[in-house]
Amino acid sequence: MNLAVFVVGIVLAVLAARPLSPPVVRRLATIALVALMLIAPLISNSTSILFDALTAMCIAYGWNIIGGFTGYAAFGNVAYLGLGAFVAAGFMSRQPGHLAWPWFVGIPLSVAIVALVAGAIGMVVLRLRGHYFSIATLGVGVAMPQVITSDALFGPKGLVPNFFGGGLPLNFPLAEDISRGSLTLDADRYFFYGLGLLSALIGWAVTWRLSRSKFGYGLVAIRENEEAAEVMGINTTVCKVYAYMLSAALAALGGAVIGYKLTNMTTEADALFSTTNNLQMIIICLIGGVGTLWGPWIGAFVLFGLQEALRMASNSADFLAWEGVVFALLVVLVVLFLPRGVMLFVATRTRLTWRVFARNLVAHRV
Amino acid sequence: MSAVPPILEVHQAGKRYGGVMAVQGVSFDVLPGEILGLIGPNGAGKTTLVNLISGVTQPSEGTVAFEGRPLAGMRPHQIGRLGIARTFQVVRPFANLTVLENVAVGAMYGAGGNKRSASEAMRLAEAVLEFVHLAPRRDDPAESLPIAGRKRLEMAKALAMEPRLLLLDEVMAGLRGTEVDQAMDLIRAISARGITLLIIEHVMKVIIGVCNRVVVLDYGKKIADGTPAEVTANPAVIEAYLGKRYAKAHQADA
Repeated sequence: MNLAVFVVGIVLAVLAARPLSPPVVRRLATIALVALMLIAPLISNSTSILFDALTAMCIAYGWNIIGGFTGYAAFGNVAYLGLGAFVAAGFMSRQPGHLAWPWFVGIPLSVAIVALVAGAIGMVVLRLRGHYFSIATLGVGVAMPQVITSDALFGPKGLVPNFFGGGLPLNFPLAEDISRGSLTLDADRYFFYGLGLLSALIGWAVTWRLSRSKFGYGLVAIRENEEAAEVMGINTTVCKVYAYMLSAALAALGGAVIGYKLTNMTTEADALFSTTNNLQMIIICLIGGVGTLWGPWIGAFVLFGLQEALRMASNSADFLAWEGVVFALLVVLVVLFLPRGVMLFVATRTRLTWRVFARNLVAHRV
Repeated sequence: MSAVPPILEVHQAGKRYGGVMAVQGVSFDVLPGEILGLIGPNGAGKTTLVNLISGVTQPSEGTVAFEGRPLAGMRPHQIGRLGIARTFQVVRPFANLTVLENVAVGAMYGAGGNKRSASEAMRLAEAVLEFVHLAPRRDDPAESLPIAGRKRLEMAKALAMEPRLLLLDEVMAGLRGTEVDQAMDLIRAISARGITLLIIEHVMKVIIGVCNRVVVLDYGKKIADGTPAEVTANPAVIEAYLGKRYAKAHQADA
């Protein structure tokens, strides 16, 4: 059933993204897509993979702002994903020394704090360009878990004692199933899925707003030619830092929602700061189409739809061993043959033929 | 002293790159409404001078003032918003944006950008495309334009910034005969709109055809400043372009 949601979702997203189709069709497809996502928990046997796809999509929308629109290939947004989860846990946890604030206070506050942290880091790393920027951000991604577990900052006698655990366990509060009489609403199925959907829609809405704003055009101008953009009156330094902050904020939002569902931050830190998480947001954008409104949506649904399809087809434990290989191969193929992602076929009149792949391979070889 | 204050004052400007002075002790004024030509052999420092004025590089010595305001320490985007626009010798279109979007970026962020929304900027960009005769290509990606179109686009992007001073860095390079004539018409039309122009050009036909006044650079120093007729008859200028022997022969003829 989830596979059907993914397939129908991709079709609707493609319809909505297609600039050649009439505006009415695009608007209706967008509405239908949101409606589909709203009813999905009612028809799906488990919303777990949908939740994974939606939160990954939110994070990918974040990466798309700095990597896609601004053209700065950030490789360390996982730092903000993980930090978002830990800061939210610090505020929401009911353990001693924590504030036990509700999610609708804790998560937005965490997003704001992470954005400020990213702003400070961005002012330094955004002085670099190209590969140097990528390497520096990679360093940020590696350093962040060390900072969080640092005794000097967050240990028992640290600057903010035990905020991130600091040797003590750190947990999000358990989300209870909601019961009204005989009706029971499962928290995983409805509450967390709802949060995941909300985060994805926020990522989409931010990007939608961005793609038609002066700020968004400024970012694209920076990507296309930074010096020309500066001469044309764009304060490139400030624009880049804002873009990086926005990018980190969406990573933090997705991360906080993922962390909330995982609950136990002490044992799940490695999972949050994993390389898989770091690369997944980039892979999603590459598959869908870098720097586009619908690219992350389509990319996330293609990636997780394929995962679901392969899991169903193989139906064995062997698959887990091969999953990584299959997706690594997919990434290599996309980068080589389809660097503009699925959006190449959606946004232009390009037909799906072997020649397209051959031409892309020639055009983008290094 | 003329009654009108100059729109741009360059005073003893110099730029050092390592041990080389690319520009040295150059002073000149640009008066409002004039078309000033900036010429000189390759490597004379013309583009460096435009870089100094537009803030792309900072002068090592001397000052540049726009409408009486010193530009020292200003970043290029601040100077752009102040009312100075420039083109690049090697054109720099935003390749993956459409022609219209390219120009709209200028309208969003230039001198008049603050008061304008994104959609208003699009409307101004359409008018500018009409003015430079690129309107039929408005929805094409900028990278699809031929060289003459790219040069026009470069000028349109600068014009959409609504500058009071426009610096054109070799917009004729690579153009064919009729294209040069069209571009000259465009420069006159820009001037007729009340925009002051400083143009770097190698095509002498253009300098003689449109400029009120010409400043000549050689090895980073100003060697002449006058009307096109004065400058082309100046022995120092002829020597700079064609060598000492030719200059002497030319003087003997005259």
